Amino acid sequence: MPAGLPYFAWIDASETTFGPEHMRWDEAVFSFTLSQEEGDPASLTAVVRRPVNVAGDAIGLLGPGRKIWAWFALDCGPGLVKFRGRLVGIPTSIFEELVTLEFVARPVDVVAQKEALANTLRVLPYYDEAVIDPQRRNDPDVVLEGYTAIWHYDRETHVVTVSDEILGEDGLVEFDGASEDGKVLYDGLGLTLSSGPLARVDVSAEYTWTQQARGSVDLTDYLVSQWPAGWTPGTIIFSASDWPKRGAGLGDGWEVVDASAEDQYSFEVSSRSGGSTNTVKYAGEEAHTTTFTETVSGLSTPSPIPVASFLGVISDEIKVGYAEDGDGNRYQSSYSRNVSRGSTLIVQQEIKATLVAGYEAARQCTERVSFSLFADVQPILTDPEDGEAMRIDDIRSVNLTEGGMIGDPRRRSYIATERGNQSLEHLIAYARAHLMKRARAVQIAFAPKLSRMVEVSLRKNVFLVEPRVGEALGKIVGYSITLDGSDGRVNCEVRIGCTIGRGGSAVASGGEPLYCSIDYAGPDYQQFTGRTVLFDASVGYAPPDAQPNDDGINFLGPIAVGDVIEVPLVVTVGPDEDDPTGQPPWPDSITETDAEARAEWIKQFMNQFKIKATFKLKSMTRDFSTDYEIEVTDVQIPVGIDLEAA
Amino acid sequence: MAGLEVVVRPVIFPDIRPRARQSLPPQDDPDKGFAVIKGQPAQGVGISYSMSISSSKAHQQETERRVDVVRVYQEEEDGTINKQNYVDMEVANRITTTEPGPEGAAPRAPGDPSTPWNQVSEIEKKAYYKKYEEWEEEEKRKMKLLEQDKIIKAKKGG
Repeated sequence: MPAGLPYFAWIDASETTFGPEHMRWDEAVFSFTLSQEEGDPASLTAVVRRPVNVAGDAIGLLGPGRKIWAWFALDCGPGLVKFRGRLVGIPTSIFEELVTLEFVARPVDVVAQKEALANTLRVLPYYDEAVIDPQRRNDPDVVLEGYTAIWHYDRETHVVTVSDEILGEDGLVEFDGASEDGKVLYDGLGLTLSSGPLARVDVSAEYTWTQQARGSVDLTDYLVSQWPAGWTPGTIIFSASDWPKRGAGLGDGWEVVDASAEDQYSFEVSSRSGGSTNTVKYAGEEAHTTTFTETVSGLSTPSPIPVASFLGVISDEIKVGYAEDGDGNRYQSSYSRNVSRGSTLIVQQEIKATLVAGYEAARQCTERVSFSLFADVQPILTDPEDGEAMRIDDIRSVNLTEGGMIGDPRRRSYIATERGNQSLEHLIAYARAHLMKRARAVQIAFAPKLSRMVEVSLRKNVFLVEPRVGEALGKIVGYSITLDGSDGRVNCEVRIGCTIGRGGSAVASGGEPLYCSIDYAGPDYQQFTGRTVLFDASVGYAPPDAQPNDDGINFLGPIAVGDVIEVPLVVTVGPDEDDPTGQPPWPDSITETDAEARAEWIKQFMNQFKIKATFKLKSMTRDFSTDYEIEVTDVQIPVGIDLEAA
Repeated sequence: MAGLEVVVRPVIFPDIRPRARQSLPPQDDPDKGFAVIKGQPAQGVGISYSMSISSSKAHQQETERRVDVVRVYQEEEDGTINKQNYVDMEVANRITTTEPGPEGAAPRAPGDPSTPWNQVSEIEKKAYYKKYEEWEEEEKRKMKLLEQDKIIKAKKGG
């Protein structure tokens, strides 16, 4: 068959393989345009003679029962350019002799195919679900943000793939400018510049997680060593009833998980009584009787040495009775004296105590990562340093604890972990993708011969040698084949996008280990200075060392008291702030009302023995934020076209 | 074509990112979060001392004496009784005394023995001794009972 002859066959949707039986003319194609743009399915616009039935009457193209799928093929000489598409839209100019049909090679299962493909692309570091809203993670288009790739729809098989926007996967189509097929037509050559490459991408991202940990710290020794000591070794002056109990709060995220306090003294008062009775009898009768009784109370042992004592109200009552004897003489017939005296001893309790503080940390940690990624591109408008910059500052993570990305939620740093480095690489990939895509600033359109169109697809690159252009290497971003029925000419066009980089590649650097030789501990054990890890051949970065701007608690290791004390223990002895100031005068006179006055006096006096201990444990609920400025290399971009040479 | 087909070129929507937290993180207040342990180890313990001493002295007054009047003869060295030589003696077998009651107590109402003894102004006590018939026969051999249970009232002020 002669080159340039188009075939058109209405088919069933199941006829997915082109065969000789499809090389027919179900419609008389007057003209057509077959084209495909990067990221879109191929389309075919065919102008055909208006279909008629056997009676010669026009028939509806969209009528029930009519086939809407079609195979289109164009004989290019060496082979056929084939297209399988579905009729879309309403034919235009339907009442004319020629009607325009529009077909698209869009898979019917495009969503399913993209989802299946997206599942294979959800790999770190190109896709980092840590920075994707969980509600959007099923969106297949989201997976490509870290790739320099775009969806590709095969115009024949309708298989959906992704294709790199810089380097096509299916090889190179060469136009050497010398061979007969390697030449392009003089007309149709064009070079356009896009808005210009991106010179820099400024990235800042936030990674947040809830640092979670629970445990306990024994504060006993710390408290006892700095507390006023009791007489007995190991005791402190305090009362067991005032010692914190289990469950009592000790600060933000802290509470008592275990505590004990044992009073060393009971302060029980015991009393002993004694006395005697002396009776003198005369003539068998009691003539003279003397009775003495005494009761003394005091502290039961063991008891501390009182720090003060105060005499209470004294009662001393003497009674003398008189009578007359038989001679009428008055004599002292009885005598009695009752003495009672109360005293108040001021004693201090001592306790043996323990106290274990438990913590349950829930601390919001944020790491702000920022870097500026520069593209090593040729100056197209001005110096790249002054060129257009993009700011990406809306990247924030989910809660890495809830998402599980943090691994061990006790960690103080995320970005310095292996997973964190992958998140960092994702940022680099994201920024790199922007730079790479925008570095494809030169678009060259040319008209190859029809015979070469069989080779053209959007998954390939083109190497073009043309005297007016020189040499150019670019990714095919679009093509079209057009037959104008009015003159019968077939016009071919291929457009390629050429990057304007300088070539080169990033260089890795082992850096200097800070602890020991790499041979001794391996490359992943210690921190380095000047280390550069390659993301790929185009860009590298210095993995950050963990330098959390927090309070220094490392929940991954044993925690000592010194690790959690923020404000050291201060023990004060004396009245509280709300206690009355000054001591009232001591009531001297012995009256009943003075008993109350004395009690009040003693009550205030005892205020000077009050003990107040304050300390502050590091908060288990506060938030921390750490900034990391990441060192990255410039992005090395391939040379698609050397503008400086041109 | 773009007007008829969905543009499938990837579009990164701004809302793919997790939402930022609604509020700024609270700063750690240096004045808050302190653990405070306070208490009063001192305690006032009341102790007491009491002493009582009392003495009483009785001044008894004899008011009545009941006596056995006996005659005691001389006993010779050979044991015989010489009834010519004798003395008459009053041997008390009951002595009634009184002493003052508690100061201010009322006199016992006449014929009212129900008043407690220690609530009357005058306390009566009686002391009993052996009566003549209870004496040893050896003793009574030298004696003669002249009058039994003779009552002798004491004179006031005597």
